Order: sequence, then structure tokens, then C-alpha cells
Amino acid sequence: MTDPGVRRSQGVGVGVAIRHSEENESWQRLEQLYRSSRDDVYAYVFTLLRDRAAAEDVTALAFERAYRRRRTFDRQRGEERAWLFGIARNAALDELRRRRRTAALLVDPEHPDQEQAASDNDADVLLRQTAVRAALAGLSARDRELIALKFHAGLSNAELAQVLGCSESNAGTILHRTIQKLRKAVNASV
Amino acid sequence: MRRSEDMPLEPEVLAELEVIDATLAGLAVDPEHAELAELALLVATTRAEPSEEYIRSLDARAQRRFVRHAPAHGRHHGLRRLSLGSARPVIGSVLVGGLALATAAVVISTGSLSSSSTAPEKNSFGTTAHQSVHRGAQPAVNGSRSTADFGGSETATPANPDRSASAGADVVPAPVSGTGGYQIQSAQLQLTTPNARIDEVAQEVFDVVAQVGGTVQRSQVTAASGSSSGDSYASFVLNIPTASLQEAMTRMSSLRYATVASRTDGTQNVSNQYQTDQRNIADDKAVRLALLTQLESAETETAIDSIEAQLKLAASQLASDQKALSSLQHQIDYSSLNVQVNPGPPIFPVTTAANHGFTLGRAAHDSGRVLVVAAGVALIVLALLVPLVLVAVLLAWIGSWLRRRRREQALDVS
Repeated sequence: MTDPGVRRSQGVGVGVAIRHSEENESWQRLEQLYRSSRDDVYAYVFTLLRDRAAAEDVTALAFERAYRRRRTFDRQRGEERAWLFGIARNAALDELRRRRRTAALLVDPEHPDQEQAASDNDADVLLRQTAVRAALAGLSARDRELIALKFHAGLSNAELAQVLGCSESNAGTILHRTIQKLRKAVNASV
Repeated sequence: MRRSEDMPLEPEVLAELEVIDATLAGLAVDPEHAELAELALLVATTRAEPSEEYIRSLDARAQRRFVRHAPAHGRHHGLRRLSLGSARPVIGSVLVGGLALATAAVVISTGSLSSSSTAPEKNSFGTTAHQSVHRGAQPAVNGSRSTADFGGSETATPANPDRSASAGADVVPAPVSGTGGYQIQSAQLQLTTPNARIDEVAQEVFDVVAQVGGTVQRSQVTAASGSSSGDSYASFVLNIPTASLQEAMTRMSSLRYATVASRTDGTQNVSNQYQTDQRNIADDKAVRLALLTQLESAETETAIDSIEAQLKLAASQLASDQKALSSLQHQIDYSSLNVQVNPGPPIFPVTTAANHGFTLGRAAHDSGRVLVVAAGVALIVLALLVPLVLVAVLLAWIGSWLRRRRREQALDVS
């Protein structure tokens, strides 16, 4: 007959092992999400904040929060990428609010990799790229956010809707309206 | 977020969105939408890429599973605030503590109310001294809806002469006056008992009256034979020696088949009236003595007749005052106790053979009481918890809504 103390310690051991296994599984899932979405999150946050340092901090913070809340993710409520971008969005909006309160950080839009783009593209493409950047800079933060989520982060319309908290058709309508604005702005500048 | 009507997308809109998705996925698109596809590609090329240095730093943090650290640039201290997750234990502790305090306050206040109430319930744990039920010779009333009227004054012989007057001192309040004044005490007791037990309760009341040396001034017992034929009822007007009133009340509060519904105790200070009556008697005696002295010295028939007439009046006055004082003394010595027995829910009888022994009836009664108390405590906790939870949920929802709204506003002003 097995000693009750041994059985109890075995039970505790099994519980710890299960928890450890769940911990590892959730971490592996998050790490996979991190690998696949790291640059997308950064690109989205950068487009929204237009500040490289702030984008780096917010991106790191978004992943840190995602790591802390990884157990609260409910697959039935949506995809992991949408969940992650929801966290990143909240962190970015918090940063925007903080800026508004301090009113100290007014940064001109940076144009990353512009030099590299210039070397890789001909003059016409460079011209149109510049026009697109200018048009993007002229958009409101809301419109810029939509463009970033769609074109820089590569979210599907369903994921877009989940991040913004609206229906998919609503998200499609808003996105289309924003693209029309962008088209007009680009055409006007070119 | 601006929200348009949630309607299905128009075909043109849908087609353009599909073109964008196809372009971003690297698929060929209809030449008709070449301009849109080019725009999509151009927008995609404006995507910012993180620096190699940052990627290395972030990967290193990912390896360490994003252990918290200070912001890299020292400019974003406001990014990290106290999250709900980290505050959860504190909030939980505060809620549980508050709930425990509230529950304790309610339980304590309820307990103190019960102990100070003038109508305590029947002692369910048998700690009060019970007397064995003495089946007396009083006529029990049985039968279908019969009424027994024990009219007139009926004196019961004390069955337990060595009763203790202080047995019920913890139940009935002590007389108001502590200066040796004269008081008339009265009390009312309302009991409830199941219909079928009315006769037994009435018998127990008679027994108690006999044990404390009281008298039944008036009584009425109406016993219904079945529950469908009406409610049983009994009422008693009793004269109880004042010294035994508390004992009688205690015993009647502990009847086997009855529970106390309410109790009222009254006290009237009659010291002034008592002293006035005493003075009147003394005056009457003095007048009488003076008249007798005058009578001895009277010489004429007329004077003798006059003094004798006055003596008659004085004697009459003295008798009247003595009667008044005697009546008052009786009211002081004997308290009026009104007992009403009304129909009520069934109760578990408490066996009175031993105060501390285990019996099935007492165990069942105690179990029932424990369950009732437990249910009451659960109800109190629930009554406290439900509003608290509702308020907490409402506050959480409002907080979430406000936070979301403030975040969205950041998009409008930036």
C-alpha cells in the first residue's frame, strides 16, 4: 500500500507538472505569435505614433502585456493576431493620450528607409512614394491607423473589425472610405 | 470610432477591398483595378521596419519572457500603470475584508437586538431550567370546535412550593424603582402553537400558574379538531404573585409546544398613592381617637348623639380608606398576566427530562435551528454580496467605457 504522504506529494507533483506544461504551451504559442507579428506590430505602432523611439517602447510594452495576459486569451473570441493588435492599439492610444497631457513630444514624421527606397526605385516610383507618404501624413490619426492595420500590419478585414470593435462590413466600409481619401490626396499631389 | 450603419457592402466596395487583399497577398488583379493595386503596393512600401539593434534587443527580452524593465529611452514612464491584473489580489482582499466586516456588523447587531428584545424566542438549546410538565386536574377541552369557559376566579394550588423567584431574572426586566417604592407590574405574552397542540399548551399554562401560586382570573380555550375546520385559540387572564412573575414568564416562554411571538412587560409606580392611602388611614384613626376622647367628656345627650354620628362617619371613612389600601396592596402583590395562544407553524418539542442530555427531539430541533441560522447568515451574505457585485460590475463597465472613450479621443486630437 502506498503511503498517503507519498500519494499526496505525487499528486502535487502531477499538478505542478501540468501547470508547467500549460505554461510552456502558452509561452510557445505566444513566442510563435511574437515571431510572426513583431515587425507588423512595430510598423502599425510607428505609423500611428510617427516616432521611432515611442514605437519601440510601445511595441515592447504590447508584447509584455500580451505575455502577462496570455492566459486570458480566448480563442473563441477571435484570432490571436487581432488580440495582440488590440493590446498594441491600447498601448499606442495610451501613449497618444500621454503625449496630449504632456504636450512635449511633437515629432515630425520620420521616413524610414527612404534612402534605401530611393536607391532601389526609379524617380517616378520615388515621386509616387513621396506623394503617398505626404498623403498619409495628411490623414487623421484614425484614418492613418486603419491604413497601418491594413497595409502595414496586414490584418484581414475580420481581424480589423475585431481590433476596432465593430462588424466586418462596417470595418470594410470605413476602410474603403479611408482608401478613397488617400487616393484623392495622392492624386491631388501627383 | 465612427460607425456607419452596419449594412452589407456594396459590390463595388467589396470588389475594391478584394483587389487590395489580392495585391497585398501578391496575387494578380484585374487590369481594371491597376491603379488601386499600385496604390496598395505603394502604401505597403511605406511600412516602417524596426532597426536591427531594436530587433536584437526585443528578441533578447522575448528570450527572457519579457521581464519588466525600465523604458529604453526614459521618456515613457507613463506607459506602465497599475494594471487590473496586478491589483486584483488587493481588490479581492479589500472586497472580502469589507464583506466580512459588514457580515460581522450585521450578525453582531442582530445578536444584540435579539438579546435586548422583550420577546426572545424559545431557548432552543435547553439551557433554561425546564420543569417537568405537571398534568393537573384542570379540564382539557377536546372535540370539534368546542369552547370551554373557565369563568370566575379559580385558585390553583402551588405544586412546587420551593420555586425560585430569581429563575427568570434574565428575562423579565427588574422593577423601575430602586428606592423601595410600590409598583404594580403587568405583562402580556403571545404564544404560537400548532392547532393540534392548543389543549396541551393550555394545560401547561394552567400547570405553570399552579406552580407559581397564581390564580386564573379568566380563560378561554377554543380547540379546532382539524386544520380545515378553523384555527385554535386560547386566552388567559392570570393573577400571579409579583415575586413569581418573572419565573412564570420564564416558564411560559419555555413551554414544550409553544413559541413566544411577543412579550410586553409594564410597570406602574404607585408609591404616592400608597402613601396617600396610608396618611388617610392615619388621619381617620386620629379623628376617630379625638372623637372618642370628646365622647368620654360629653355631658349632654345632644352632644353625645352628635359625636356618635361623627364617629360613625369616621369609622366608615376609615373602612373605605383601608379597603382602598388593601386593594392597592393586592395589586402590588399580584401582577396581571395576559396570555394569548395563537395558531402557528409546527415546532419540534423540546424534551424536558434533562437539561443537558441528548434526545432525538432536541437534536432534531437543534439541527433545524442550525439550518435556519445558516440559511439566515447565507441570506445576509447574499444580500450584501449581490449589491456589491452589481456595483462592482457597473463600476467596472463604466471604467472600461470611460477608458475606451478616452483612448478613442486620443485619436481625434492627434
